[in-house]
Amino acid sequence: MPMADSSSSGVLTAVDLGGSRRQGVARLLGRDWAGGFLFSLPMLIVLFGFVAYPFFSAIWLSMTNKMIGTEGVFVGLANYQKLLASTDFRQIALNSGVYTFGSVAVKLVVGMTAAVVLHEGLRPRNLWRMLLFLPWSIPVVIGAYTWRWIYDDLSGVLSQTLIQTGLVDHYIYWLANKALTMGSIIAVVVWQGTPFYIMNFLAGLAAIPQELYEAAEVDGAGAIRKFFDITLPSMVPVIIIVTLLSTIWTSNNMQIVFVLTHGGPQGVSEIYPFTSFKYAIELKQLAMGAAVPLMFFPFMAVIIYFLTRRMLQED
Amino acid sequence: MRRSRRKTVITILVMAGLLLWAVFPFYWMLVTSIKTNDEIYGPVAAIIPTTFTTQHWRELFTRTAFVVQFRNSLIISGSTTLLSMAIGSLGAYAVARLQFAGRTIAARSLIYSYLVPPAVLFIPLFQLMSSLGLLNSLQGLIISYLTFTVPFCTWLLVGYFKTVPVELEEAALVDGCNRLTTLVRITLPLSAPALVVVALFSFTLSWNEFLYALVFNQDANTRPVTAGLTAMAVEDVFFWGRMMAAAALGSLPPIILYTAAQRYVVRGLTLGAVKG
Repeated sequence: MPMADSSSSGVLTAVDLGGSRRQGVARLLGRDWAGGFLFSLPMLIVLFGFVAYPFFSAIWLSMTNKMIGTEGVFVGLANYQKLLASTDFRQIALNSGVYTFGSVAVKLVVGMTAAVVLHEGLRPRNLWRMLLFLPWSIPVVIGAYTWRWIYDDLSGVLSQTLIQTGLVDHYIYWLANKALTMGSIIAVVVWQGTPFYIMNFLAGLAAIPQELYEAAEVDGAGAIRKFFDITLPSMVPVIIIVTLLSTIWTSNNMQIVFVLTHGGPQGVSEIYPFTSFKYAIELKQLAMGAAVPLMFFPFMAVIIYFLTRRMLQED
Repeated sequence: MRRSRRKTVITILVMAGLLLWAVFPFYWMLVTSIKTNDEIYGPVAAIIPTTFTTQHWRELFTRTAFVVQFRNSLIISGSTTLLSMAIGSLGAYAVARLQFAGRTIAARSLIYSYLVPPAVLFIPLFQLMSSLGLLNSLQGLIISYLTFTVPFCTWLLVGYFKTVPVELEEAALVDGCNRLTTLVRITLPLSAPALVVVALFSFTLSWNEFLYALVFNQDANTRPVTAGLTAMAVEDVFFWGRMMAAAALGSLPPIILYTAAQRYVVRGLTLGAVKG
């Protein structure tokens, strides 16, 4: 608690500098400048020292050839050029796109379905809500390991149950079969992330005035028309925020890929945050590792720009 | 009449499917942790276990660093929570109530910081922690976790502080309180629900973090539970019984917290950006 010993008068007003000078300072820096700066100092240390400074040093780092244990020298945009020229990079960009937009799209549909069904009733609603929320509440990495075990080639419950029930006659390699890998990964991302959508959509649904539905019923609207004419349009603001936040979080999260496939087989599930980790930590090429996520940052920045505008609107 | 019954049937079926999908992995986690290895690696995945053993749980406690890592997780998450509540309350009070140059910039940098992805930050933070001598330390992770808890906590509290009647604070100031005692005696008690949300999310977000812990703390004895799990697979050989026991226990604190504070959860999910 850095504030605990700040003297009381110093916090409330500026140090006594004599009437006119104090007014001048107050006009320049704001009425509560001393308190304002003192109170926000710890926060600013975190924001600037541990977020902004590292962010800009990542940009600098990406323009050097630094490796763990060696001093880097400035190489300009060489790392970016190297990345752009490699065929792997095209594959990684494609993977990242499929992974992110596939996951977000499925989460949106499943989340909306679950929210509407939950909203309909079926007591005890709180119990169902709590159970559906479980996958989101635990560490992502724990969920991922549990799924890796469920997907296991020979001993996994998924393959074995399908064989026992006679639905298939051979083991299914959920993660090793290149045709299935990305789908299996997305299924886990959806499992983990959908509760976030459900909770927010439930809050959105609860805010829609009941009269709208009653009026539509008088007009003879069925369940499907009510959903598209009333529910969906009223939910647009919630949907936008949830989707944008989820896009940022999903695309930057390498945990599920790290645990399930480590980017394999043969790179079919390698997404860019994992590539960055691979370069920086496994290959010790810090500069290349820093360049990878920054290549995708312009795309991220557009989303951040829109989100920030929306979140600041309420001010 | 017929139509509404059909609707009910569909509703129940969809719900049952969703619930099964959401809950089954947890069931499987628990069941695996008490099966014998013969059954775990046998040709039949028995949904209801036919064997029982405490072997995996005993091994988890005696042969792995799990106990130390669980303690590390508690220390890291607890400290991060207390620090971010203190830093967040002060910062939020300044942004919500005080007039000073740079206030708007401070407010904006909160949102930007909240949205800068860890995928961009983990390499420069690794270097920073390395030069501060904080690799393989709990302090290093606590500081790193503040990068996402402080923006979150502060922003949420700014929104809440603005709903506290300013007249109450002015009365306290007239009665001789300074800004700090006003914050502690008036604003914070009136913001109790927001403080619960902030504490809940700081603790669970820290508990669940993986990337920084994996990269900054290579030494098993300084790792929290999440990064510690990776050591239970050696060269693609998994000790699934032990791993699932660790998974179950590592999931427990966030599950308990989210369940106990369920009604506070929605408010924190999108930083209060979605109004319920």
